[in-house]
Amino acid sequence: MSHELTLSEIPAIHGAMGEFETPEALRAACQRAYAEGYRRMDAYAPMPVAGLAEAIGFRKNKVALAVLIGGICGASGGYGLLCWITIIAYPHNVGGRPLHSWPAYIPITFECMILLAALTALVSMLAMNGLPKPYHPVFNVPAFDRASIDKFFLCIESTDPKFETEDTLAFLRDLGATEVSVVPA
Amino acid sequence: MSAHEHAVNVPVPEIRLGPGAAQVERISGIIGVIGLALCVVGFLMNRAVFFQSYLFAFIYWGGFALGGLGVLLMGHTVGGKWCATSRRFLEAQMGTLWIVAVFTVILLFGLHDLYPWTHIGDMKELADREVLRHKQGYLNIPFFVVRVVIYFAVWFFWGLRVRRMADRQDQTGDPTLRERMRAFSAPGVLVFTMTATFAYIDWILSADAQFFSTVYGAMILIGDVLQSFALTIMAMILTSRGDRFGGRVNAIILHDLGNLMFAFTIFWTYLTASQLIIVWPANLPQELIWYLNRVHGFWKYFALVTALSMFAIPFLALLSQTRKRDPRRLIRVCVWLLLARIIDIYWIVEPTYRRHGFWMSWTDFAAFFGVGGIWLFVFVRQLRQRPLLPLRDPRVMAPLPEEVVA
Repeated sequence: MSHELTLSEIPAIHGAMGEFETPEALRAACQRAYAEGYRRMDAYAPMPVAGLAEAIGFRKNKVALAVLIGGICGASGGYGLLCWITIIAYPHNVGGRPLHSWPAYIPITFECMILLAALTALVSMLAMNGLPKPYHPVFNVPAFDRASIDKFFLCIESTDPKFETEDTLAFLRDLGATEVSVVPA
Repeated sequence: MSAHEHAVNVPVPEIRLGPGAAQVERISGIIGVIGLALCVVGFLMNRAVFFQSYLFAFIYWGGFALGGLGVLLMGHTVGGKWCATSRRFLEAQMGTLWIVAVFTVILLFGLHDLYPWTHIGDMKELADREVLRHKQGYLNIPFFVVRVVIYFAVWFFWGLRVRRMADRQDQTGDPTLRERMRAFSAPGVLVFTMTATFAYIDWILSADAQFFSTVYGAMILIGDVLQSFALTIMAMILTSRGDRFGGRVNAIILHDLGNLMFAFTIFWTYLTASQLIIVWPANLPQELIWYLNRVHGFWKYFALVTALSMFAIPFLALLSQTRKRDPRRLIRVCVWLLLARIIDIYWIVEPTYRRHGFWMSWTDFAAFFGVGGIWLFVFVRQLRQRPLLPLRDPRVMAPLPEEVVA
């Protein structure tokens, strides 16, 4: 146990954290924790680990859908704007072409689609992943600094219905964690 | 990564095509011979119409050889598991270059029937005659033949050398070969793109006396790359049925290839649309004629169907991540694109000759199946001669366990 406070001294608990030596050990631990019924947990690794996100039950996010909707809105908005300008607001005869000259609309329609899709991607990504986040309790564990160097962590959060501080710590130890600690909120 | 490095010394088991492929080879050979026999009849009946049909079939089927070579060189240059895994299918498409060269020789007999620049003296259109007189220095028969020889010399040089290095990698597993293939392919991409651009200007664009477009060669070539991807993915899915490749053709590889096919769908659209966007507002008669021929009468439905089937439908279909990872759904997109490309090529090639309205000849079908049958025969034969996966490329040798699950 590397934490300085004893369990009773911690006012609020964010979760229980286990430390692992290899990406394979972390992934296996995540898979077992998920199989045991834990759902509210997060895994931390210094590099991308294939299959880790799936192991903690991450399936699909809604960013792609938001981008699709943003793109459709951008394209139809751009096209609509051009229709309004060239047909209704300022109808001009340009070299005998029809007022509704769709080939000339393509570039602006395309650009509007890209613009709105990209902005939607950025905003919905930030909205859904909770960034920017100036404070996160996992950093209260001193050993966690090595999550960006050479150690792998699994944190089961106290909001999980199955979470019982002592039991969960024991479970993490049972999963093969080399160190376990309580994360103060 | 330990599992990965551990597997490097164990070559991939040799998997070859089974008797079903021999059956496909035989049937396509028979169809090809019957088709070509009908082509001879068509040639004797009306050689001008026959060569129009032949050019369309030649461009479509030859596109696989060029597209395959392009993707192969590009894949070696940028690296990646997708290319290492699909390499044999690309090499087999590239390996059909020799039959495409034979087809080109047949094309040389139709120059007078296909290209107005061969008979400027007889032309009625004064404007066309004047323009072509100035293009005479480039568009003349001897120089055309010289260019064809140069194109194929360049393509054979790059294609065969990169295949020989791949064979050596299969035998020896020499780790330096991967870098050498990359270094050899990178300039090849450049030279190939330029020669193919010139080839398509010679073979199709020069049939229009006045039209010119700098994006034209790239537009056809990128369509070739697209159809080559579609054929490659289809062949990979068909040959890996029943997990014969032991998880080496998995959802991740298909996702990568599907993404590339998606990207080239967009690239094709970008080039095709940008040509229209440049020509349409300029409103110059010598450029517009190309489009006017292609929206005249019934041809405009071809234009519409091409736009829908080459862009709108595959674009929407390939947006979905799950479709790209599911072989059964992805293969349908591949078949769709291969069929759509037929309409696209037909619409690009034929309206130049059938400018007073749409009509079809039975030789269109005869040439399509004749050239196609022979081409498919050579393609499957190439594919049958070598193992379906590179034997000692570290990117293919062992799938990581979690990739099999995904």
